[in-house]
Amino acid sequence: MFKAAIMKEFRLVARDWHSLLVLFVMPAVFIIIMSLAMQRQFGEHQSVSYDAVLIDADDSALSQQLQELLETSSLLQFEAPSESKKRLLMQVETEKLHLLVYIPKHFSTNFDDAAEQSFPVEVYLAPSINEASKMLITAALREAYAKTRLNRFLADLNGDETMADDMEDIVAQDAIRVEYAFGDERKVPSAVQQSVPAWLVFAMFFVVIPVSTTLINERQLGTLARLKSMSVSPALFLLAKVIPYLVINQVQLIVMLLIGVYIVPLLGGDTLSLGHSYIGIVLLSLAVGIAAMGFALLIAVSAKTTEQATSLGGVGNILCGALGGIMVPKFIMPDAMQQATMISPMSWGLEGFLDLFLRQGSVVDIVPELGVLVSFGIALGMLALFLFRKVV
Amino acid sequence: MIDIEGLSYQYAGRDVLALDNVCLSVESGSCFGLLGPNGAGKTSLVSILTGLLDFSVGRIAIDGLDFSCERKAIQHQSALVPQEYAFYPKLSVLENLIFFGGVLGLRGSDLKRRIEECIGFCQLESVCSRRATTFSGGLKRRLNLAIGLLGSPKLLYLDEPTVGIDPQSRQFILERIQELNSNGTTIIYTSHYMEEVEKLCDSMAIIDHGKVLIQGKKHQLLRDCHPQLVMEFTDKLDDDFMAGLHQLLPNPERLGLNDRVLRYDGELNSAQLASIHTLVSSQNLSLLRSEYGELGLEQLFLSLTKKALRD
Repeated sequence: MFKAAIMKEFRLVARDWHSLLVLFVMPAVFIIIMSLAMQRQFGEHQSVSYDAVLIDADDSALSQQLQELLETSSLLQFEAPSESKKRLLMQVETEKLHLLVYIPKHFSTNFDDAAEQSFPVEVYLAPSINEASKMLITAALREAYAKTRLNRFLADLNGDETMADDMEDIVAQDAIRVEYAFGDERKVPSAVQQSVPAWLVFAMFFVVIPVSTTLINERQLGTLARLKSMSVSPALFLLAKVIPYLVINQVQLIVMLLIGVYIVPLLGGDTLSLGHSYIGIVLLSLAVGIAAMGFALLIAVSAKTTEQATSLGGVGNILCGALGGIMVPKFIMPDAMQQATMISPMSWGLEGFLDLFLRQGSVVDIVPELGVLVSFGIALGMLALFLFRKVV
Repeated sequence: MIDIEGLSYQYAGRDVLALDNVCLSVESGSCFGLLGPNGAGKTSLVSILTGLLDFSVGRIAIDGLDFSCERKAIQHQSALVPQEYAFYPKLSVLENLIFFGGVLGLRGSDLKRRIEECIGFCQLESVCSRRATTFSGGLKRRLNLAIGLLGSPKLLYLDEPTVGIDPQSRQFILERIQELNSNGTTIIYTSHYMEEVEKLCDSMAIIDHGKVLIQGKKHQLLRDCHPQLVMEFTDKLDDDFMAGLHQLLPNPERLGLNDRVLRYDGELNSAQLASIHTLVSSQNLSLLRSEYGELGLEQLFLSLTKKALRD
């Protein structure tokens, strides 16, 4: 009976093009789009830079020195000012420029006395510049300003320009080295490292759609009644549904990983790094599959119509995804929200994959995730079986 | 084959009994018609007999096996062909039969042989590889029947197996059922088509409001029903006419009047019938309808279950 039921489920899902689209095409598209679209957020390939225009109204040696220092910053890409301050400000307002730096006339007056500085450098930011970018830009401007002041101070102190030249070397020295904890450049967090596991976990939970529509159709068509009259065990019947979808989950895993490793780089994204625990990947994928099937079976036996099932299942998945760090990476959430992600099984699945892919974890490192996901799946599966016995 | 004693069943949350102290007996090898209006309790009874519903009051024995103790063994001997198209429309005929055969525990050459036999019996050879979703109502009914026959059941429950199909398909299915019955399969047949039941079944029960109203051999039931005179008038009947009528009837206590419809249960000879019509004419009564004769199954059904519409 078991073999026949498994074959039947495979045939049904293979002929359900809508479900196949949801299970395979939707996550593939999400992975490609998100991996490419979020590259900048993860600082990949191209460094972050802002289009800027600098107007030097002072036109002094000091202001020119400041301008030169600012132009060495990789953060700011300066264009020559071609219009008036007023017109350039309008361009900033309308996002045609990210920022306008204005060195006012008499900037160099009282330059030596910071407390008396009455003509500060003015910076105008576009509305889209967020707080983090504002801090970056401010830091770059302050660094240039500080260097200008320091140069001036050292030159005044010694009357020796060579000391000021040495200052460049002193500041440029690699006194602070910043790198990711895992050393190897390929393992640096990237959009693809976040997108592939996130949308893979999300897609795995979408087995709720074919599972519930099949079960509800079986109920509505009287097939379930016929099977019950053939003394088919409800537990075996539900279990026969679990196996094919666990296999489908593994196929999803392989397809999405291949997209991350081969397709995304072809389109200009980074290459997905899989870590070194392939057994861990398989075990975690099975655990996510078990959790997804528990959820799917519960929805399938609870819903009375396919419309109810697709609504409940779809909305449930989207909520779990939003809460679980699928749509918004967990690390950019506030602490309270990060704690709240724990209630979403998708979060546990995603964290498990990030442990393996990003943090170079092994099976031992994902034991908590495996435990939570399998327990979640079994608990919901048992509840589904309890309800199924009542409704059939 | 089937012995039911004191079977009662009540759905959760309902006030009334779906089955009320049902006692029924079906002989082995018979074709038994189970009749009743919508909501009478037919489906509940078939659902209990096929193991879809659990009962706690009463006793059922099938082929000598107690249903409560030997349910699985009983289920292996019987099959249900539901009113719904209870198969997978996205699967082909062959795939459906392979699945349901597998569920019944058939394997290898046994499965192949039974599938071939059922396909042949229901004449599905030409559509074996077609998906059922493309089938007409008649083909779907034939596939529904073929699935029911896979396990070579001794006892076959057929729930309205000819609903929604053309006359040719209906005739085909009725012939197949007759053939199955003549080969020894006990058939429990529920239908609203009285002529089908009258044609197919050798015994029957009429059930309503969860109670068995009548049961027995078909010819006996129809024979035992009294002939009936029914007259319907345009106007109300006055006392003079009724008094005259009483004098003409051999058993006037069997006379009933409901508004303008007069009904008499009992035999009348031609002279008595002529006298009654003469009385009607003499009173200048306008007659809408006048019928006399033995009850057919439909009249018997309606006389027992009344004409009120069932929702």
